[in-house]
Amino acid sequence: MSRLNRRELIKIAGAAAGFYVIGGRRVASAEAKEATGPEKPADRYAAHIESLKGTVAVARNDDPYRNTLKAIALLGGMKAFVKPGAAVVVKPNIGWNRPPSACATTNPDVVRAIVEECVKAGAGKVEVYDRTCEDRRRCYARSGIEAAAKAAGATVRFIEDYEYADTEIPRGKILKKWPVIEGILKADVVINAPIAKDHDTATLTLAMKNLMGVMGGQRGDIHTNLGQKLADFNTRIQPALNIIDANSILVAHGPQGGTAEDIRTPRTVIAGVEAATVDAFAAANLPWTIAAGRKVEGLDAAGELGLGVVDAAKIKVIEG
Amino acid sequence: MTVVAAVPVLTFLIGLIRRNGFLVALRMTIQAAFLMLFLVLLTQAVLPLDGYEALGGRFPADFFVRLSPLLAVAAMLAGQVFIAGLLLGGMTLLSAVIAGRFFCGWVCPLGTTFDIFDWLFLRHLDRPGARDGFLRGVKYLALVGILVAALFGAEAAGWFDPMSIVTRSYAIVVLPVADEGAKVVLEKPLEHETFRTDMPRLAKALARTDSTLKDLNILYDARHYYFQFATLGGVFAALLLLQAYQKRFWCRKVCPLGGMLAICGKWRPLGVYLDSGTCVDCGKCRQVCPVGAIQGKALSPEECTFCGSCVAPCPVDALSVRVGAPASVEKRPAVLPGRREFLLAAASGIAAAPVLSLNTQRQADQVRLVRPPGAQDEERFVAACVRCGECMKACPQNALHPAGFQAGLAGVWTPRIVPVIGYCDYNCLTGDQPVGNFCATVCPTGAIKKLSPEEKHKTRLGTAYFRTDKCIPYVERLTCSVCAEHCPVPEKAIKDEEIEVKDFKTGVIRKILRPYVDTALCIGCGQCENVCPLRGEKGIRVERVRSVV
Repeated sequence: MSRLNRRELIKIAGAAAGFYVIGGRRVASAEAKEATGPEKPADRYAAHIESLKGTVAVARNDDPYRNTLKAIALLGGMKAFVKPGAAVVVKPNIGWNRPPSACATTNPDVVRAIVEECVKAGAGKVEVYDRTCEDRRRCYARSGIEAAAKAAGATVRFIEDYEYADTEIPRGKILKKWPVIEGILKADVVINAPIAKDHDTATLTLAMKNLMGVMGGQRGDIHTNLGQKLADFNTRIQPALNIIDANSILVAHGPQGGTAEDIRTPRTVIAGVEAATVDAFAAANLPWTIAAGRKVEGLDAAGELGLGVVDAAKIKVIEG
Repeated sequence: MTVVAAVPVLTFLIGLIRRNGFLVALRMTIQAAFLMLFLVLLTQAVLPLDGYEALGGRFPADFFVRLSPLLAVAAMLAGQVFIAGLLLGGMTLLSAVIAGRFFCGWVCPLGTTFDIFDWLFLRHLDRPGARDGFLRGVKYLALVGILVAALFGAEAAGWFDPMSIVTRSYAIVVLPVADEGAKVVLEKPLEHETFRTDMPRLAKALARTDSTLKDLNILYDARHYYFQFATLGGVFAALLLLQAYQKRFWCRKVCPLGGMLAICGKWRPLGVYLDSGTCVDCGKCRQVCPVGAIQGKALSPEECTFCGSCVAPCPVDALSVRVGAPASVEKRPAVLPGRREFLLAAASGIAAAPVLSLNTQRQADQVRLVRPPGAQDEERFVAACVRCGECMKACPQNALHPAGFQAGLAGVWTPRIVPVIGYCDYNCLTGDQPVGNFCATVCPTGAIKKLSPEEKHKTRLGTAYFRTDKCIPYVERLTCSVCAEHCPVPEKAIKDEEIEVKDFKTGVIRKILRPYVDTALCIGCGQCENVCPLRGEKGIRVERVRSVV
């Protein structure tokens, strides 16, 4: 074999550099999941899930862990949502560097219950992650969610900058395209696990707003015309299951600040298949103070886009 | 850990292979070990998840900065305070008294950096190695100037001390550049789906390397970059490239710490000695000496850094490491500046204090000079800060940056918060720790005072003010309030008021939320400015003033 001369070496180096240097993000491929949501589990549950539209399950228990199990059971059990071998992503609120007692992040016991149920239903893989608002290591650790999820058998990991894919939002009125965590687009089942909180701008942050945690890009831009943009985004990303942690909630000075006086304990878990429906129920039925009587951003827009039943009076309730 | 240990071992083997003698192999190994220690301490100066000190408190992250007796003396004189942690510098002085400029040849990470750069890029250059007197006295003049200035309250040591220089240069220039470079290799290919589907194993390997290096704190989680990068990069590059003229130019001519150790080491018992009786004046040792310590048959103890490079090449074994001089030793007087130069240096030191305090920008720019928590007393702070850059490296939010002229000439390269890049985390350290501000735990002189978490929550760094000519609710008449959302003060220092506005285009009246600062509560942490969605100039800015109300 003859030795490479300098020209050939430069060509090879140039090709390698060119390969590396081609920048830009890739657009979600044509084989991406349909705009209506991730793959549904075994067909025998399809009718059951269809019947759950416009319905919420409301579980009440002193123990958040048992409360969550109850709520899932009221909806027919995790097997209706997770079929054996499925790739599951549980998306809690890990956004803030706060301990669980501050109620800024999802209760770790709630996350633990959800992960355990997925594992029991035979999930192939359960991942737990969030794009935090503050230092990600400390958010994951101080919220207690990393430890709880790992103990229950989930893979807990950080999302890196290269894991976002520009995603079209065909039904969006204002928001037409936004980068989304690829794992969310590829997962078989996405379970949305927010904690219910007062929020100064959105009035309340519940299931629809929790999905901001899978958004890439400059999320500050979402806050103008927040309601419409949230509804738009929720037309594209539709978790199979939404479980709102309302065991202890921040009723003022959310989503980050807050003192002990701002916390109430409804000891409730609200679950459903439509983010807009569970949000409407949570907005109307939890002991809000500052937000009471105020319109929740995005609910009207969600109703117009057909994302659920946003009139709380018309929601069917399964209690337990 | 094994990688860190492997480097010195490898260096030792390479040293032996190069056949420059056991002494040189040993010296290179110790240099490598200290450089590795320096890099480990610097990269691990990160906010721990538990505890409040870097490295679990088991070893001080600012160890190398504290090794400098020059910084110790200057900081204590200028600040007029005794700083116990800096007594480590006494060990360095002691090593000089015993073994001359041993520190320069075996320990100093800046010196090791010079040697590595020289070996990588400059070793084939033909350079005058001889002991020339040109500018050699500058290091003593610099020393005098710095010490006299410190006596009169001006802290100038931080700019010229090698421990400060090396820490600052690595923290602001070398590590961020290495970080970006590594991420180009590790992360850029992963952005392409074709790469990940066609080469899944390689892609997984890259991803796993990337996250492992981040877990080990060798790579940053998020992009870290610093103001004054160009200036400090330029200065560092200049120091490295000055070696194209002469090896270890900084060390031989300019380094004030080198000057201090030269004076202490003049009568060192342990060191390399040249037996002039045996010497045949072949000049081989003069050629290889990196600091030009040998002239004729005389080896100057105040210049020699004990590197041992001269020992092996000598054909008659005239050079050796001994305790106490051999029978015949030729002595030459040290190259010292004249009395006039010394007086000029001292006068400059005296003039330094008033000159450095000239700050024509004080009124205008100082409002943007937001200091880290614990550094609010400006005069005391500028006198005590040695500009080492440890706090800038350690701040987990990348909030601290070297100042330009915002603090006047005296404050160049002292730390300031730049909220657009990073904010001061309200919960930097948690309530159950004794210290609330992590930056203070890595500060070698205590210029940044340690505050308890409660004190930190109450320390006002400044106040946030809305730019109502930019802020979206004021200008576009739309709700935004990302600032209010992120305000970490529990009672919220940014509140919203609901107002009625008329839409510009349609004329429709609607209600929006318009934020305002509750100046009684605002602590000026900068989180609002950091998250404001506006690019360029933000709709809210932190200024270093108390509310006048």
